[in-house]
Amino acid sequence: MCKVLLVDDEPDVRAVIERRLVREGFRVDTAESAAGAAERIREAEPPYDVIVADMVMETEESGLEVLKAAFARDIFAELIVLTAYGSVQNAVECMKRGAFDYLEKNIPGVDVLDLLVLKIHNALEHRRSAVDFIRRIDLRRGTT
Amino acid sequence: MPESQHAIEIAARLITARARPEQVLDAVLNAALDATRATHALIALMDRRNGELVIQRVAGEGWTPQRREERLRAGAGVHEGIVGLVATTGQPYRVGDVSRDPHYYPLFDDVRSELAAPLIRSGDRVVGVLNLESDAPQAFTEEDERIVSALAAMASLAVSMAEHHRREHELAETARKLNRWGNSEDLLMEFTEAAARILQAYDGSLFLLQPDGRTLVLAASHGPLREQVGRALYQVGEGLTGSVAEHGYPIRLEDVASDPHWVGKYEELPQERIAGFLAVPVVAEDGRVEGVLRVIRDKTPASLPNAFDQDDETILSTLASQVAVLLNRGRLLQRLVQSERLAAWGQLSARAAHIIGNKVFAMKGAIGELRHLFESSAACSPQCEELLDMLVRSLSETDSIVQSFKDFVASRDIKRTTLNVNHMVGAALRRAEAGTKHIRFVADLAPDLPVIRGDSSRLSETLDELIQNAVAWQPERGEVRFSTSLITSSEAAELAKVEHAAQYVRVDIEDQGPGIPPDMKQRIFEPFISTRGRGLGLGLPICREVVRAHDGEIIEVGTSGGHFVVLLPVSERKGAV
Repeated sequence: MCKVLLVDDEPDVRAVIERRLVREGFRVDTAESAAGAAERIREAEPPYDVIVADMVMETEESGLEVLKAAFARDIFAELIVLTAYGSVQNAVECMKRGAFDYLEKNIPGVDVLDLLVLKIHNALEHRRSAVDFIRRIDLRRGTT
Repeated sequence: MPESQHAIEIAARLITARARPEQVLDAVLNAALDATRATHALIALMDRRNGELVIQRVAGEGWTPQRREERLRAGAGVHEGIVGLVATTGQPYRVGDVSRDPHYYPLFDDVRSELAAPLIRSGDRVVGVLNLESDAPQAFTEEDERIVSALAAMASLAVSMAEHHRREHELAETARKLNRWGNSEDLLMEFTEAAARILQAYDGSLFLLQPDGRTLVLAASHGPLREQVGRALYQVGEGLTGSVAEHGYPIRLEDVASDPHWVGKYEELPQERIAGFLAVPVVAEDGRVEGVLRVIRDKTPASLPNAFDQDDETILSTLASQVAVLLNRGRLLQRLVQSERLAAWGQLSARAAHIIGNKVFAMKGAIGELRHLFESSAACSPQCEELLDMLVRSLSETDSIVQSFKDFVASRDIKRTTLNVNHMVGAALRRAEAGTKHIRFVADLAPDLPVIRGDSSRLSETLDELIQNAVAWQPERGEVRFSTSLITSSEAAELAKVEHAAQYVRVDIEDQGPGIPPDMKQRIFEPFISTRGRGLGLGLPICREVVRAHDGEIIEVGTSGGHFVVLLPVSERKGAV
């Protein structure tokens, strides 16, 4: 089963996303701060497949902190950053540092949760292919 | 005469010790009594405004309050008395038998001879008279006249110093007022009053140069011109006031009418009553002339000289530099308040938008889950579906509102680059053409438009909004016309209240729709006023904020259809990239 960590400082937002992701069949853990997320990421065994984190929580840097913690634990970690009218500038910065995608929470006329589920599936696909690729390289090395 | 020498020494010491002027004048009078056979002595000082000589200090016998209150007139002819005569001629006067003197005017019954010497300030201006009387005939000698003239010079020095101190004090007072927060219009008014008071002028006025750099407008005056504040105008170069603004140096005149520049357009006094005119430029830190501070003196009843001197000019220039500081501070303060307010608004609204956005997101998610639960339980009626749809729709609108509100607040936050307005208009046109059928777009773009410094994406959004606005009102197969042109600062000033730049790029967008009713022309730029009955009514306000952030202006001038005019200042830095 796919493991997702959801990081957001708004309890209502956490509740609603968690509910939806659980319905999709994901195993979901939550954290309410960048520090809390880092701790869960460190302790998770096996590591999370996908991390969904709000970009601006306590500080403007929260998203980047989660990103760093994720890559420290697992270089194949996939991160999707969320923004609520957040500045696109920060999201771009996260993308540059290796986030898989970003998603605006408020797009008029779009069911953003549907979109999030889609993006998580894409992220899982990405992760699988990356892991497969490395595994194939390792196998080839092993045979030669 | 050692005794008189002693008295003179005391007077001299008092002057150098910076004693109060009354002490010095009393010492001078006592020295005069000691040195001569005088029985009464007085010092009268000239009041320039009415030509009267007011008795300031007296010494000797027989002075009563009534006698001290006597007013002597200078230049009044036969009844002026000897004191008045000396004040007019500026020469000492000595008479051995007053009963035979045509000028004599009795203050005392027992007087037989009299000696008077003028108090003269630098520049042979009489400020008062030292007068001695004796009950003995032929009481005063030529030697006495020399001593008394010397004492009069000491008295005039004391009077000048007192006057100097008074001016110094007043200047310090006005400088102190600069540090007080307050309405700058009131402060400017206080400056004209202070200028008139310090310089003993009849009136003072301040004219300020308008942003067009060509017109001076009366900003403050404390006399008869007060009524004309904001209305009285001089062109730069016009009249004496305009000349000061044009050349940036002071003008000081005794007889205004003799100067070829004099036009007498706005006078604090009728020309024939003006005895002195002094105007100095108000010069900003960067050397630009910002205005003209001027004062006038009126003629005394006896037409005594009452012109301004070099000291007066120095003082008025000092006041003018204080006015420049005040103006500069006003501008800085305004800018500071503006940017502080915007920063506070920006933070508040970004925070609010974030919080509301999260809540809306949670609500939408909850509705989605609710719908899911209903679907699987078959408990959902069509009415439930309808209500859920309504909730989703309302939340979606809430999203749009928060977004446009955030855009409105952020609209002043611009990042400037060098822009070609024609390119921008062309691109906006192509976007509009791609999205619209049945409407013709006609463009008339001026070649060789200078570049401007502006935020390309915000200005493009502004053009898009104006085009959408025009298209929305457009009848089927109508025509939307565009033009760009280069206009001067004064042409721009005729259209709207703009500042700063010498040239403006003008963009016109005209449609053939129903137009905007005259009573709505101003209001359409106010937030939350929507004439189209849809949206939040922030479209045009955002446009205006963006244009104003560029020091430009947007107005609606249509007579039949809608006609928007955008003015954007041309970058002053030539060839800036």
